[in-house]
Amino acid sequence: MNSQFKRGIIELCVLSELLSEDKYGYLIISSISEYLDVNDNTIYPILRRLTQDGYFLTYLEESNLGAPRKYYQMTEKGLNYYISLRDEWDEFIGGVYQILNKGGNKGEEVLRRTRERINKKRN
Amino acid sequence: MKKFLEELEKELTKNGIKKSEIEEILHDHEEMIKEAKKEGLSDEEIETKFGSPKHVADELGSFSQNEDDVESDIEGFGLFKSFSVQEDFNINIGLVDEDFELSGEDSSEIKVYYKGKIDLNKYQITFEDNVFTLKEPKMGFSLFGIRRSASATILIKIPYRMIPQCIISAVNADAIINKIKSGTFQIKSTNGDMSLADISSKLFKTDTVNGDMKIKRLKTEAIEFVTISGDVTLEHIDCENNFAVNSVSGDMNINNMHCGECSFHTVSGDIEGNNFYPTSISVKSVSGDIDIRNEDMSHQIEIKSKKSVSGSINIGKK
Repeated sequence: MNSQFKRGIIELCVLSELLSEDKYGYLIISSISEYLDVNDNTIYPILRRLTQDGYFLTYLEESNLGAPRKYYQMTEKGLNYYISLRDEWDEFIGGVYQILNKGGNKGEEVLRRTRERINKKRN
Repeated sequence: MKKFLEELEKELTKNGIKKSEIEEILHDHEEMIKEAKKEGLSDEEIETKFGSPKHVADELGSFSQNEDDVESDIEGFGLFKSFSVQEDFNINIGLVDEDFELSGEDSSEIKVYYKGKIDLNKYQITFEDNVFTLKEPKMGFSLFGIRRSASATILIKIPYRMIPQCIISAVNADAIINKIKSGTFQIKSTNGDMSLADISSKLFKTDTVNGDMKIKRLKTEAIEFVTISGDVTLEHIDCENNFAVNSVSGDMNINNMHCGECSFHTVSGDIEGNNFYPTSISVKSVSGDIDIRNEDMSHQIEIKSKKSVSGSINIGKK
């Protein structure tokens, strides 16, 4: 998949992770990599960039395990950005599904008929 | 962990990232790796999760600006490109999100400067067939294609000479435009605030949605103004012929203006004029008013036509 496109998705995910609560870096990375293969789109640079652009604030908080953790907190600007990105995403993915569903689901029957049609033409 | 951090530091340095930034990045990674170790992740697993040091550094490097090594004659700005200009040329600018400034000066070069986090390499910036073009990168899927650089400003200096066609469109961008001499000057703005000064043209056309517009010292033969809801301030305007305004709800504040016929179509926008001297006025409005206060009452303003539900025209002494 196009890496720019994927990066946009990861960005949306990072923003989404901080919607309901402040989180520290490792937690954000863990929660996302639990669902997505982020190997070629590293999360930290995105997190850092969003912070530099004023979408997140950071603060340190002592953890009971020793060294303090850096927490990330969504700003008003970040929230607005999330909303615009999310709108765009919903619209895009909604459109994609409209198209895909027109083709039918990925069920056995649909695939069988398509295969039949392809083979018929060839003969 | 030590190996990861060492390698990361090496790669970051290689990419020319500032020392203070490197320290912070390393510190963040140290913290994260500690957490990962606590969960019992192996070194390979850590690399899968965080990305390889080279990958992390490359991603960070491609957005970090190395301001130190950009030569520029304007403080705070880096010079991106310059083109030498021999004759009159056209301008075509289309930007989304980046604030910009366009101004004419006595020179024979078009110069493009920038400030803030922006990768101008991704933009179309060309000077071909006497047309200067500056456009957003073309991407199939806009927001997910490129990073929005909310904090960037682009500064364009151009030679002060005749521009037969100057076409500018801006979305979500504030703009300052100074010292332009043009045939057709056309500006289209959505959401951004525009501030224009010292413009001369044959035809001056604007089209704005939402953003406010301020225009000072404009000399032109005709004006076509379309605004949805942005407010417009005009000062020291000299318009030989028609001044046509089409507004939904935007108000207009006019100070010191001479023009031919002023035709004003509006739903609810008002015109407030001080020393506003059109030769005639025609109004079509639902509830928009025209209120003019002039010092020179000997200057007659003919009211050509008035179609209004509840709007009024008042012309009085200042």
